[in-house]
Amino acid sequence: MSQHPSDEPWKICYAQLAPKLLLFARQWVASQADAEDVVQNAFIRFWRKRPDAGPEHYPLLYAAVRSTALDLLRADSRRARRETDEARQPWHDHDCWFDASLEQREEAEAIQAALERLPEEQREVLVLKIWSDFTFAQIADVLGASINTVASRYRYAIDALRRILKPAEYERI
Amino acid sequence: MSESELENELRGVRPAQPSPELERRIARELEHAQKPFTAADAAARAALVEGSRRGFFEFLPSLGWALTGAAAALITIYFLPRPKPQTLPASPKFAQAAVAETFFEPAETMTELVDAEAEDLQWNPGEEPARLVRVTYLERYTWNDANTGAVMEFEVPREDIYRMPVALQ
Repeated sequence: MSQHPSDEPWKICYAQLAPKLLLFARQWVASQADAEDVVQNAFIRFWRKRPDAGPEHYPLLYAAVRSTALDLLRADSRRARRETDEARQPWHDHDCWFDASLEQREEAEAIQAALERLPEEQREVLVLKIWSDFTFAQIADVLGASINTVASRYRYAIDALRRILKPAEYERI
Repeated sequence: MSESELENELRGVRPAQPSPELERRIARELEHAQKPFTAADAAARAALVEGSRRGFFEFLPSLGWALTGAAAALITIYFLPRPKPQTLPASPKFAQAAVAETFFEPAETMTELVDAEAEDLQWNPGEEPARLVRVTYLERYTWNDANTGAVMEFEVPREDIYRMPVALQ
């Protein structure tokens, strides 16, 4: 039985996860282009090692994206220190992390701005929980942390987002 | 706004789509790695193996003569007078060059605080109550080889456990 090209495991995975992986990578790198480079490198490395990977292996793919992004971040930091580049690009440019219709644009930008204010360890847990639909156990596998730690970071993140996005409602609670 | 309402509101915005070029780049790399072994490749490999096999059998008589010559040379060398062993003078430059071929030096050490967790109070008999605090670090070491430019990086997780008496909290 011949296999339709779109049935290849990596293509199925890509179709399901590409935007989510990109959002995950976007937290650490300065631009959408860098985030795509990170996803590309991690994705290729992952699929070369596990050509028949299934959904149960996807947390490892996220872990690979995270590791690749952090390596790029460290390399950029070292390069900036060596080159003393005063015109170094700021931490983030203003690509929108989300696909938003015109009506949703303002809300999407507000959510992105709020996410950028979160500490890194809370933001990555929140992104994995909300937009990748991972369980706390899966997130713990991605981050190499305990489930309790992941759960408490999520609580702090949600609480912080509520404070930032809905300050009036937060004060009433 | 409840937590679930906020979660639903967050899920209402979808992550941005990657550029079409990303999938093309990934496809190029993965399909190159998975390139099937075609009939033409099989024929080429078979021809190579056959050529090697024929060459091997043709090579045997020559090998025999070569081994005979090598044996004769060894026997001759064995019976030749041997020069006295000499001690080479110590050469600091040589020693330094040999050491300098691969010599990593520490360049950077970073310690990252990963997590800190406080456990419940402990009440041990004869001691004042205290709380255990577990602090997890990730230590990153970077070593450089100035001669070759090689960089070696490794990470070591570390967990410190502190016992903090209540009086200090």
